[in-house]
Amino acid sequence: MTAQSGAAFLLKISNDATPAVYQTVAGLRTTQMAVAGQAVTVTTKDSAGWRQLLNQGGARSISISAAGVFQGSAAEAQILANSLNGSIDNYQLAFADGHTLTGQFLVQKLDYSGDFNNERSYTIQLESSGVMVWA
Amino acid sequence: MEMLLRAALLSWLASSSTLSTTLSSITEEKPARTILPWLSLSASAAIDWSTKTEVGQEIRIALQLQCQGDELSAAAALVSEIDAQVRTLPQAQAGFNVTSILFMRSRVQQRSPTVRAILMEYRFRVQAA
Repeated sequence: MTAQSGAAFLLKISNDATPAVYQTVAGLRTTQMAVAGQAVTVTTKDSAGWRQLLNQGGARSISISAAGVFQGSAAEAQILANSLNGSIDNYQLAFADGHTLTGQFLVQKLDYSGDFNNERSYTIQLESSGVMVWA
Repeated sequence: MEMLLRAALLSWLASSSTLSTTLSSITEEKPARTILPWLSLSASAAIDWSTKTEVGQEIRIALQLQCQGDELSAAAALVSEIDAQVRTLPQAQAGFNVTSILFMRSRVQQRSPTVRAILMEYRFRVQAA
């Protein structure tokens, strides 16, 4: 076990080729991933007053948020097109230890900002759709 | 990138016909012997400004102007000309790209009845090309 660099925690987007080639979304400074699981309650009068949850009963989902400095890369243009079209596309998260998480995501939110004296920046919020593959 | 920016900035300042004709010298170091007015780069400092995919630096450079004259307005015009030239440094440079330029602060000091020293500090955010 060793600590891992956050710089190697990268968001990538597929070029939709076969086989898919994932290109890194440029300019990112922060990448976050959150796994959520719905809780399905199966509590009854026999639960002795304690809530009971159904094993693997709820839907799971993954949210990705990322923020960085706009670079004008092809990957950023693809994300903008996906957000404008409401398109679900293939994305991949890559970790420093070589693990990847691959699946389809919807661009739920894309924010651009630019102060008068600073660089143009952006934030992305992705929501998963379907099965996620951890490899 | 700090040294590259210093060189690019010096070259850009010298490329201004107004500055090159008004100033007696535009140098990296304070000139040992020259007539006023002159402009030089003072201290600079750099910190990391990278992203996950690009190497970047935030570089602060101070410019030092020494000028002579009874009229304050003459020095003000020179400072405005220098400021305008710094702010229009082209984005694409050899080895790096300029992302943003910000004026940070300035300081004016009267060193003799007619000589003034003006220090102007700028912040450059640059990324490796």
